[in-house]
Amino acid sequence: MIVKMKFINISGPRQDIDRVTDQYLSKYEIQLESALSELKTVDNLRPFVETNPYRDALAQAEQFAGYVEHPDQVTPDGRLALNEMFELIRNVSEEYQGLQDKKGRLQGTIDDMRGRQQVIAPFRPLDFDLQDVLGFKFIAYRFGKLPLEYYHRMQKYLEDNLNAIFVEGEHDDSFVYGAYFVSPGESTRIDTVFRSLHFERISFDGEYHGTPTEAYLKLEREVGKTAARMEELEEEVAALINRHAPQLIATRNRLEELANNFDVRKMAARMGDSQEDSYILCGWMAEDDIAKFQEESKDDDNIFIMVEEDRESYFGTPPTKLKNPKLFKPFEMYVQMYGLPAHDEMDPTMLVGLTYSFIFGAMFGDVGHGLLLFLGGGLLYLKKKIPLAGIISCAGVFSTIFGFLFGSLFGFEDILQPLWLRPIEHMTTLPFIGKLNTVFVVSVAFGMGVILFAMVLHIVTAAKNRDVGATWFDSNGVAGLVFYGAIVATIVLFMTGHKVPAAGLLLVMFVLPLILILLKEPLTRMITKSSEKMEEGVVMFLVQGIFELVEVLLSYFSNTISFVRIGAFAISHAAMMEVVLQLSGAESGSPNWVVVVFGNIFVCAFEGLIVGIQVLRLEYYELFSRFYRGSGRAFTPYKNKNGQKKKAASKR
Amino acid sequence: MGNLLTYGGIVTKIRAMESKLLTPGDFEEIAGLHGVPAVIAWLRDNGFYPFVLDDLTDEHLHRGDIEKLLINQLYYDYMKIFRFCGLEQRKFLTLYIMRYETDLIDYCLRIVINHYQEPFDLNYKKDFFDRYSQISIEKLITSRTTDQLIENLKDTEYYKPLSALRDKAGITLFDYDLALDQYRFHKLWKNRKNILNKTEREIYTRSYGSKIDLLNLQWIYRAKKYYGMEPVDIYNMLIPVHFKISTELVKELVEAPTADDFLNAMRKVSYTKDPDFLSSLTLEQMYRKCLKQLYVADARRNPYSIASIYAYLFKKEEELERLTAAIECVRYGLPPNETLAHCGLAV
Repeated sequence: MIVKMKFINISGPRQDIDRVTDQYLSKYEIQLESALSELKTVDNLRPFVETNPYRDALAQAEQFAGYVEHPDQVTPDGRLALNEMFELIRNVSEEYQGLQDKKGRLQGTIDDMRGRQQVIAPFRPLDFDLQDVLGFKFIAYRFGKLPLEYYHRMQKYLEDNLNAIFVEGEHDDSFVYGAYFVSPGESTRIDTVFRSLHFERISFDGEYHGTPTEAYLKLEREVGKTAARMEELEEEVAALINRHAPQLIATRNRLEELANNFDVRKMAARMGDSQEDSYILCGWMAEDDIAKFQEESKDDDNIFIMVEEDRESYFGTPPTKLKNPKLFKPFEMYVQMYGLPAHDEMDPTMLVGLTYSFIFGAMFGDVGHGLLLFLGGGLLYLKKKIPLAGIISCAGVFSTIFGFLFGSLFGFEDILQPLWLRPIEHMTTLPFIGKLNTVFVVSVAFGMGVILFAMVLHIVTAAKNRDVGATWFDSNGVAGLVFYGAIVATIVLFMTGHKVPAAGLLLVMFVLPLILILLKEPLTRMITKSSEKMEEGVVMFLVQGIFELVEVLLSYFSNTISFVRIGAFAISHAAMMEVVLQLSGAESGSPNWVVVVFGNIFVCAFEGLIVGIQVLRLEYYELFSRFYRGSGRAFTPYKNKNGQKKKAASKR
Repeated sequence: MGNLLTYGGIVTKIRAMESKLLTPGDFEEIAGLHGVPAVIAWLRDNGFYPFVLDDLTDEHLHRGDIEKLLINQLYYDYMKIFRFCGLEQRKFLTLYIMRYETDLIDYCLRIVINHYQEPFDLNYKKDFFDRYSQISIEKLITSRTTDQLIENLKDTEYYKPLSALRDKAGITLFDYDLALDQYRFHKLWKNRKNILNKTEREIYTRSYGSKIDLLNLQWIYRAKKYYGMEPVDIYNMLIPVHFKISTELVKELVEAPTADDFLNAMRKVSYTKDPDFLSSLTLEQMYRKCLKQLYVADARRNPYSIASIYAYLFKKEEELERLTAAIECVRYGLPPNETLAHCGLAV
């Protein structure tokens, strides 16, 4: 069902807007529309330009509340007044910032030490005391790195007659680290040679002690100590946050509410002059909500509610809010997937719920699987509120019913006696066609019924909207209904062995509706006396019309045959289970139960998925396309995040 | 004999192309002509270079114009061969194109580093490079500085060796060229293992190894004789591959204190067994002679192999150099004998 919506205006003194949103709007669902653009006819409207005073504090509160370790275990402490909240945020923030600064300084020290470690790291293989070397007087030394390529050249050509000793440190992808030692007299020459080899010097300040490895390890220890001190600070921060956790969370929640309420101003408008300053809010609300709202605010002098009656002329189409009995609620998902109904359409949810479950059951008739689907889907739906699970559960009920009708239990066909027939065995003999599985015949007949029903729905909707063409001359209108009905009647009479109606009658029943469908547009124009001219010539119109007619005829045919799949899946279910039983060796009398169980699980999941999709396809193509547009827009009420809780609290 | 099938078509094609190469006799005739237009007319009449000479008018007889046309002829031949090749040989040709690519980058580097006012004149090369090379001339010609140029080479294999140099101080054009050449030789030397089969690899190793050896010799010689470079700098400059010259000999050559010592060391190198060497032939001429002998011998001994391809390309390059020289000599009215000498075809 579609809930009836009305457009309302709420206005009052400007300062009062926060109270109204807090008190009423969080309780009643309303889809706010921008007052400035909607109320085009009202003069003197201005936007609100105030900035949200809660934003900054809220951002900080959110940050701190995010640090709380187990937010769901904390009971918010709601005793704080608004200025106390701001005070709290300020204090926590200051303390937090202080700790953060200390941490930053420690991090700086660590980075510094890491940097020094990086410098010394490649020299670790050099096993001598750095201070000793740095104190050399009679031997010149240079630490640095050499590109790998040049290092190879040096080894190849120069090593032997170079008057210097190169001590290798570590290698990486492109450099060799190390130091060379040379007598001071030769140093200028050797320096030139090494410069040619692209040697880059690395200088140590006098801050390293011991061998490079020792120096490296010492730094490592110091980094460890500093890191420990940082962890202590980390704990202090956690302690600070946890000390204030209940207040912080309460503050966050309240500020969020206030900030959101404040943002209502984006949709609102200001009205009037300096003496009489007031706000105005407008939007869509369900009719019963409006009644309750008016009842509650009866004694409130500061709020004026105005309900607009002839809404469509001014405010466009209202949004759609679906309201269905609990049992059908999950099926709203399928309707939403196709498109919500417009306000002047009918809500097909209940129809979908009934037909979907029914067809699913017929295609997947098995007592065992049906019960499993019912229980599994039901539990999942109750726990997690997944709509699909609810749908599966409903479908499971019908699966069980059809399981009894077909006499199938986990694929064993010999335990239950079928109440109706066995899909795979039961045959019907038809004139002209011959022997056929009964389920095929029944499903096509069922399909014809569904299509006729969909046509009736189309006619009803079109008539309600006063659309003459769609009611009478559409391929789903009265003309189509007569034509298709005549075919169905003729086939039924023929198949059941009755006499077929006289040729003259058939001519009227078949040909006349087709001509009407063909001439839909000109006829509609004639009846509505619209002055629109035909755009193309008569010949073009006829050619196009005839092609379209052929397509319409084909679609009647294919849509009808489409329903054969119901029977086909009923049979395939039985056949697949037969295969499972064969694989498990059931005919020998002692089936392998592991195979039976896994086969059942596989078939249940696999077929459940396919049948689910196939039924949905039937619903959308065969049913919806005949009578349903789904062009509505969703109702998205203004929601305060904590509104839900408040509602519950106020009820208590 | 498996190679006969793969190479049958391509070798026949190359033979046909070789028949169109200029013979020494042709050069004698060219040397006897007067004026550049006459040379062009002679080439035209005798059916040489039909593909490129058709576009040439008499106003465009400047040396630069003719060189551009002739280089296009080389690319044209390369394309012809490339089209005739199977996948395996194409892999080799794709490597071979590196020499054209490094030439191109060299040219661009020279322009941006020396801040020449003249813009890049590369449009005539564009078709070829768009089709066969990873380098986009479109991008290159937008470069104004060395950094831009290197950035524009980002998607190519040359980016890595060049960008490694970029951040170092005191880098000159010479260093970039050196890096490019070293990269190219190194890659060609290393990749021979991946793209050639056993016999081909042996042929190629021999001729390419000799080429590298000879180049190294030339470089050592020039560095010592003309530039007086320090040993360590010479070592840096060499291609780190030695084929027939031992590392000891290289050291001896590089560190020879006097010119005589150098020549003595030079005589130990196996390539200088030629009795003419150092009496009538310069090192450059020797380089050329050795290579030509090697290539031609390779192609003759193993006609159905990669050798035919690179021998042809070598001959073609040589011919183009000679032709350029000949045209210049004719332009300046040198006597035929001297012209032939400049072409390396002394009578």
